[in-house]
Amino acid sequence: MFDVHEMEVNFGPQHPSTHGVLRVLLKLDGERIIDAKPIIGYLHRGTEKLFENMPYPQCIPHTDRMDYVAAATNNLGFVETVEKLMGITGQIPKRAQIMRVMLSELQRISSHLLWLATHAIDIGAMTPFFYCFREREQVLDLFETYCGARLTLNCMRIGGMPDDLPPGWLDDLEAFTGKFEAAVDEYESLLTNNRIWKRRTVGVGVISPEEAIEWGITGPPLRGTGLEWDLRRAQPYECYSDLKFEIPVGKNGDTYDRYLVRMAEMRQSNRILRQCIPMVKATPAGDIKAKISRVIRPPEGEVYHSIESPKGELGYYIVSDGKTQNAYRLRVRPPSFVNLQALPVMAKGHLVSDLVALIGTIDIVLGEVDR
Amino acid sequence: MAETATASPARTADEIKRDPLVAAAVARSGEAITGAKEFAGEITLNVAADRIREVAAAFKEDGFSYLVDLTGVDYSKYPGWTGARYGVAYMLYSFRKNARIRLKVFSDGVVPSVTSVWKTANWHERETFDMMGIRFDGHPNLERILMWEGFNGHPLRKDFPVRGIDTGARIYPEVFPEGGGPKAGSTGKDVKDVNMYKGEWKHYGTWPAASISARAKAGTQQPPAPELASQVAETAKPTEEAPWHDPEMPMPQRLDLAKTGSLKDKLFAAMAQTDCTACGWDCEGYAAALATGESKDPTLCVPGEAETEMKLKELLAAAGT
Repeated sequence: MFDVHEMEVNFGPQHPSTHGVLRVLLKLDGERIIDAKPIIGYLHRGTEKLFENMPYPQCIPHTDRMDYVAAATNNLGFVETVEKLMGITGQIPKRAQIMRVMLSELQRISSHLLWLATHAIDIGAMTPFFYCFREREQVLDLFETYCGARLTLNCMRIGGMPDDLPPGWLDDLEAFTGKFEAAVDEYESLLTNNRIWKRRTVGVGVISPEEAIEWGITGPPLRGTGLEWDLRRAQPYECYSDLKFEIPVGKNGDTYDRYLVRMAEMRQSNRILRQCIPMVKATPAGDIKAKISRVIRPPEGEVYHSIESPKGELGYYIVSDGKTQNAYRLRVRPPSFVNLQALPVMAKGHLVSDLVALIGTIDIVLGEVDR
Repeated sequence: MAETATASPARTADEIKRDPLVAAAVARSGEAITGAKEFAGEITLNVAADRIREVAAAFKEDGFSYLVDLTGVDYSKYPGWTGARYGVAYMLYSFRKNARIRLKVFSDGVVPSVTSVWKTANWHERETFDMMGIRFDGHPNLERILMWEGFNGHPLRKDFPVRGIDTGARIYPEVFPEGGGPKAGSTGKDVKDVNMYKGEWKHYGTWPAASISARAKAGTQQPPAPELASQVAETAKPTEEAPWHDPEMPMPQRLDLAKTGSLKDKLFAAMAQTDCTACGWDCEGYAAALATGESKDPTLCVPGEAETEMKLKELLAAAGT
């Protein structure tokens, strides 16, 4: 069964660099990975079963708890899917759309900051952690000022937004966006040309664009292979078609390129936020909800809708029987779950320490993998 | 995308099949495409279950290179459903056309695997097997992925109780040891399928409405379970003593029928009449509990919503309790 040099080692489930409770069963030849088998499900909470048993508006807080470092984008994907099912996508007021975009882009920044902090600390760079959390704290403060929560935001409603922006929020946001670019420069000065960082990431976990599509990989890992595909551009939702931004892509599809893509994405998110501030000021205050029935009872039918979450394509598939206020079936297509599936492909032939870099670079959140 | 759907009138199945987006692949699949539907601008093609693999390959060749998602739906509780029990939906995306379509097969439990067409289908099919119990023929490694090996049951089936089965220990003491977890050495193969269990649920899940009054008399009232609120029990039919016991009847008419009755009858008529047992009783039991003062909470009727709640408060206030 095993060659004399081969051994089987459990990586996780309790391991600081598995970002939660991921267990990887490794088959090793010395330190080289022959085979890796991710074992998941330790954080399974039956979210999809719960969704089927509660009215649509009650599902929104549960979506927060899937990708718990990017609650706003989870909310956005869910409410948009229900809106599509009800056929009210076109009725969402402009102000609500811009607010949704602002919260999602802030969420993208905070998610990428958490990724960078933990990815760097996993590989051994301590300092970026403190720098990233400094800015992430400011993003969370902005969330807290808007909706009272820092992580589980519950900040969107079917048909619009729960509240208007509090006074002074836009000034705080403007101040944040003004200095965030310099903060990204600071992170990059620590890592981008760092010799150790490059030796740990360049050429590690290479995946080709064809293989990435075959495995269903989306988000920064897909763009790292050089494929310019972002749902915000390919199938624009909310007001993304009015906004100017670039889709950063990599070249080699390795860990270093995925790092560069995410760094550039933070800059682009910041750029979107800066465009949003004058746009939202131009819309009438308080116009944040479409006029829809308070009882959400969508017609019979099935829809799939997806958005670009910080991790990749986050999709919701709803089957409605048109009779009740509950979804008959509500499926979540989590980007982390699908991206994680390609871990063995990326890890084969690398060293155990590279597995730590790979888990970081896929940017998984186990709450979303297991649901 | 959604705007175009509401604006244009519904197309027939043949018109959808001729849509340039899918026409080429549909032509190659021929008879395997059994139907087509359009909703909210999304095209769904029904595929004969035994031919899904070749149809999937045809669509992949036609540009739908990215399998976005694969999941199952248990239609056993779908209103008016007569077809096969399970549906499996395949969400496809074409980078070239920048468009999505959905393939759908219906089956009673076995579907050919498409892992040979898209590698990403591997985990999706494992999850669908784990959650729904649909078997995928030709899957290289069809084992549980979210639940543990040896877990009995498939949680997303409609007859699986939403409260869970507590590792099965209470229901299947012969298979699962007290304290949880599978039996030592269990491979999962020796475990009975929970959905095949014909006996009475001992602790969990839905109680048959008929036994609820008996349960209430014995002092073993079940705790409130709001997740039951959407069901309508078979006992929800008008009787001679309670002609208002009809979920379809509007409330003023029901109250009119009960106006000469006792307080309990009036309260009974104000309920939603579905006998859903979400409050912990059937409709009559809850009315009796309110009338005798056993329950002081008039807000428990979930399907009746605000209408029932306000009427109950009004009746109780009028009775001076």
